[in-house]
Amino acid sequence: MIAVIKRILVFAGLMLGLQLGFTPDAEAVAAFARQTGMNCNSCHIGTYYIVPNFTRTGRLFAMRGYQVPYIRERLHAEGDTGNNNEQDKYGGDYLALNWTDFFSARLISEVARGGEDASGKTLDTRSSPLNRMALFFTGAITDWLGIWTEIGYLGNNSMRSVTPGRQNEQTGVNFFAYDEYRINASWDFGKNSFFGFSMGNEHPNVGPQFQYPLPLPDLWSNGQGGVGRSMDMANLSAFLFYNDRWYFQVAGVTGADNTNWSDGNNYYANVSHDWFRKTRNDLWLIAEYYAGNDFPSIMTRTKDSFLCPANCPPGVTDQNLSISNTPGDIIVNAPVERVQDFDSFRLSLEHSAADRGSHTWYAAATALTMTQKFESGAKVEDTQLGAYLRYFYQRTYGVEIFVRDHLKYEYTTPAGLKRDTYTKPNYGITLLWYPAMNVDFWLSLSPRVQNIVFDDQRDLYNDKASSFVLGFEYNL
Amino acid sequence: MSQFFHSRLLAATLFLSGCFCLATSTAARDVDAAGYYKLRCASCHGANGEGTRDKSPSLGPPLRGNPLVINAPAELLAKIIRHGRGGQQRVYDDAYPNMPAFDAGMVPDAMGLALYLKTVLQQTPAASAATAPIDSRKDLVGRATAGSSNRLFPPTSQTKGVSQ
Repeated sequence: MIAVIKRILVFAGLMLGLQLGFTPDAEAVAAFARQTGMNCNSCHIGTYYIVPNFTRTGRLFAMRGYQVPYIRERLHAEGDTGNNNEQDKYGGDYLALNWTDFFSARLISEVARGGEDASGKTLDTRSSPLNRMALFFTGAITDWLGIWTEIGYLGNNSMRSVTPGRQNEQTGVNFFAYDEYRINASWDFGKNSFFGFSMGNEHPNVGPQFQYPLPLPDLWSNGQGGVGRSMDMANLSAFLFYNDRWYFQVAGVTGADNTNWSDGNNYYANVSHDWFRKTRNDLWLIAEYYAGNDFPSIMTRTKDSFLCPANCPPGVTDQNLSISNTPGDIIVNAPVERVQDFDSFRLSLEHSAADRGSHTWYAAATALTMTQKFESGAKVEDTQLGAYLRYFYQRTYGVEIFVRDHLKYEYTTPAGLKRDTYTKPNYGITLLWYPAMNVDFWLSLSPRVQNIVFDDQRDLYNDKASSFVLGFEYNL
Repeated sequence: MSQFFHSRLLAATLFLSGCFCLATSTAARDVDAAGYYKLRCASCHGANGEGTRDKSPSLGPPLRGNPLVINAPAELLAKIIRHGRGGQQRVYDDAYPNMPAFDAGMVPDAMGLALYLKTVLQQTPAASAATAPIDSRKDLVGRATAGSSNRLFPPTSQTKGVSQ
């Protein structure tokens, strides 16, 4: 561990040297995001790892269906880039998309990953030179259609072994491609109001901001951008934004394990209110409800494994995949149950402030509760609370911290016996450095990697594990 | 005589050609400014400079009647067009995002566009600002060019209060 800390200090020293070598100016680099024509900072409060915290403009960009802002010229025909001033540039149903737009890409590399396992043993420090890469497009297709889509690839070493006894080791050969999309049609009506419809292959919620990997309580798999194809679902959504303050959304979702409407489906509703409505002071209260009869158990790994579509061989699970289709925090030795129906409610308070003097931040607090009734007659209730802050000074030096805990996580057996669970609050801290808007380095520390056990099996609880990741991201 | 006539004719032709080119150049600049306003500015600042605060997301403040646009030197506006305006430079405490920068490939004549913002956009009827006849703009451009050096850009403390 000391050797690892030394390496980190050496790396930090190198970074400091680089930092002193030139004047950082996060505002002045990568002047345009090609796909919309806007400045990156207009919509984002940092893009660390795959979590693109939003400014007010960015949030409304997602809510509006990726059509506004969009200030780049659109294509009328091949070779016509809209520079002929006699043509109407912002009207019509012409295609706004160019194939080269898709070459906007994101590269994420984990320079070093390590820590200690559950026994306190120091793990090998490993590297994922290409942890993940994604091509994506987000923006308008026509005047009334917008799309967000991402085609991704998880590079060598980013997937971990499922071999018994080696489950903290990276395979070096696994990779996994994913595709995500949400296509929207939306229109303005009245002052500061719009409405629209969307279709996508992930959870439809775009009111709360996307979080990953779960710094805040989330049992719905993050919503858009969260799970790739690890949780394959289809959704149809209708949304409305009224008077610059109120956002409403309702959606039907096929479920959480396949796109088959006939084996059950879920529904989702969202009511959000925005208070201050300023770039420098934007506060949202978001109430969401999600219920239905097609959802995996939150206590155990889901049945539909990538590696074991039917039954896994003895001792093999997919629990160490870096993307798992398990929505909850599993309980050690929890029985395998099939969900009959569930309902869930989440209340979030989210605040963003962009360029308030030298300070920029996104902060959120979330309470979430889910009750699942199982076919066996058993049920589980999980109530979580969490808080999260991502702060930047001069849009260059940042820190991200989170803490979350289960207020109640209780399983009731078919016979009616209540089994409470035991765990401790989970927390983490990440240091961020953005020498440019599209390049960032991070050092992420998770001092307590722990499990959740039944209260009557507290001897199985273990929080000796810890982890750290040193990495960088490049967006081009 | 014939040689003298031909010389005069050549000189007159050259003179008229020069005038024509000059007039065409001025007119082209105005057309370009109006066109580039529509192409690069209108989606955020409105087709007639009215801003987009009435839309969500709101993208840009009004430029018509905007004290900064009216009082600031055209050179400063051209600089804003070239380098953008974002983060801590932002004047408005409102819902607008950062203004992106427009390089020469996107707005070839930033000064021409700045003059357009200070003149044509300010003084033509709202409904036709972006499509005003070329002839009606020449005088305005001239007046703005002459007057801009006599006007002082208001101090930051005043412009920070600007909001619609």
